[in-house]
Amino acid sequence: MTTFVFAFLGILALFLGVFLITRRNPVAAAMLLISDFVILAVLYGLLDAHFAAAAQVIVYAGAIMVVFVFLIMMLNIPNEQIRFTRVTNIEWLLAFVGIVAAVIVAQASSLGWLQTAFPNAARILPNAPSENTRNVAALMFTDYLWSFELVGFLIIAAMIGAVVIAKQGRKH
Amino acid sequence: MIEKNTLLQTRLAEILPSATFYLHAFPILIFLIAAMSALLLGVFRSDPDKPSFTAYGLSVAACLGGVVSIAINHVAPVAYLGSGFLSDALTQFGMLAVILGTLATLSLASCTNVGRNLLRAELVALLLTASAGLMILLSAGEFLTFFVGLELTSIPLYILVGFQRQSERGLEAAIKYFLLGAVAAAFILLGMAFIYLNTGSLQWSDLSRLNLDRNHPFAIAGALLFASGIAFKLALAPFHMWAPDVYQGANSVLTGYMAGMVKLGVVFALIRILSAGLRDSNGYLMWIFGIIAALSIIVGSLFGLVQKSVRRLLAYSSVANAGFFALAFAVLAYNPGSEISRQALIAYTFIYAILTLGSFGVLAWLEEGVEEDLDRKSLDGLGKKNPFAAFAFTIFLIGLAGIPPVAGFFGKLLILNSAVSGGLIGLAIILAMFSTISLYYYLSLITAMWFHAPSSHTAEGHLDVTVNRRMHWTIGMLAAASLVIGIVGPRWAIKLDQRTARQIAPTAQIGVP
Repeated sequence: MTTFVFAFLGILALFLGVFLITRRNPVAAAMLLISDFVILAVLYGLLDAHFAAAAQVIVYAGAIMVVFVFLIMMLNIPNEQIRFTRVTNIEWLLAFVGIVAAVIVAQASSLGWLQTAFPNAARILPNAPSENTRNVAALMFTDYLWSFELVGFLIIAAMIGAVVIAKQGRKH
Repeated sequence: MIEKNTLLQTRLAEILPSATFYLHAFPILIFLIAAMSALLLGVFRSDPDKPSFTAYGLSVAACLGGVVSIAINHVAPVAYLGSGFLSDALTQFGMLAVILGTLATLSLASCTNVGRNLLRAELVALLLTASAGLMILLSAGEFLTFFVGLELTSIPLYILVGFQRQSERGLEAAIKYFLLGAVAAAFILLGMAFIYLNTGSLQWSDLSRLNLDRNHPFAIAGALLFASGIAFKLALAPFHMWAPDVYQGANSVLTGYMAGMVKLGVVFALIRILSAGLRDSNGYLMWIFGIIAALSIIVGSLFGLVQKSVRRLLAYSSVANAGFFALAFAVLAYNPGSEISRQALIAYTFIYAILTLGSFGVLAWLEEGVEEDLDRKSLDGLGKKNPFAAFAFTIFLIGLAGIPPVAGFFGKLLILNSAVSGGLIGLAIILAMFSTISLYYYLSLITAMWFHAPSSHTAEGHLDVTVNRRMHWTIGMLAAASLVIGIVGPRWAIKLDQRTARQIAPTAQIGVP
């Protein structure tokens, strides 16, 4: 059952991704991106990464995409201004290389190559999968306390930056 | 559940730092506090667009406080907060270098009109945050804090490069720097994730579990991605494309900081990573860094030959000089216990930071009142028009070229020595050969300054009398430092660096207090 759901959602996510990059209308593309993010969140949940799933929905599908959509609407980009020419040879080549790489990785994972590639995977899996969020929090407030506190300064710096640059732009 | 809670509390009690943490991390804390206070005081200013001398005074006071705290601290290697903050000789030396660099940057900024734009309260706060980020970066003992420190440095710098949107070139520089910096950060993150998958730990003391061999392709991919991201940040070829454009477009004072101090922080962190006991028996890391070193010196010396703009020329010179860092990384990766290459790296980065700050400081001086970018012609006859600037610039250029009396020679000698004793003789020959080629462009600038007749095109660097004296002092101090380390200092510096290099224990050996 889980495998079936995983495969179904995975194919759906890929399909939505392709659909997303071929849209002419930026708002439609943004909406597709949101649904793609939600599907990815479900996939994370299936992998027992509940915290990542929640963060994905709240941060990406929620906060970031709202700003994204606002920006698209504010700038009001007409459809035809977006580059929409024929796919060049280089791009076909890159797409081909990407597909070949994906097939190789898929093949390798079915052969158990990935398992040997990650020898210590057992060490980092949570001992109780249902307590994923708790485990993350426990680490965040003990071993990684210093970086957790410092991220606050990082966010302040980014915020000052946004204000400084926006203010500078208004003057000119 | 209750049992787990007690476990958590015990761990928290272990982690929470003792009082000495606040003494050892004092420079970081005081920089962050000063940044926030500058920001708060900025609120009460009536003309927020003018340079704020309160913020300037506050940041100078923070620098002095940091220097004093380092001078009175006697540290034995200790890890605080997991291994988020390692307190050892390397940390203390790196912090001292960052603080002195910040002080020089602030002082240079207060001298020129362009630089004074940087002294608005919020921009001073950003500069202090960037310096605190560098100190966090070079004292980190695990990947997460390393990355947070790196971003705490990068994000303020993107803003400081980008805030002057008047000039088109500045805008181009800011966007390039931001986008490529973000790509580099993504590379570093992905590399960290792959390495984490292989070792199951973010602590550098566990890096000895990393399996770098053909059966673990993802570990190799991780190392490769991490090295590429670092190469981006250090402007090493083939990831150097942004450097000339950004160095040309940004404020000169800031360029000195970006080129000198950021490299110092990243190199110090990499010394820790590479000496944490990585087993690289197949030499993958050595090959990665070796190829990067050879490419950097080739690109830096050959492309530098054809540059007209002095800033672009200095950018390519920084690519070439960064090749020496990569050479020492290769030696260190090949032989993690190599104390001599650690010592060479510490000495060379410190010297290089002084030379870069100084040379871009002189450029900032000469650009005073000149709208367009300086080219080689604008240095014609500078020796007659402004002998002090010409003399200082000559010293810095000789240092960057690596000619004996100035410290740059001594740094390069140490690196080449470590490479030869580490068995990478071929690479050492390539680096020595191409740095001879790069002599041409350094010497052509020096010839232009002293042996060409001055023209109306020559930049002079007019400043007010009082400001001029401070400029003389700052540039003079930097030039004197590079001369003193070069002539009198080698023995003292070798001893200091040896002590520093010996005291960086791999994180596993550092006891938790």
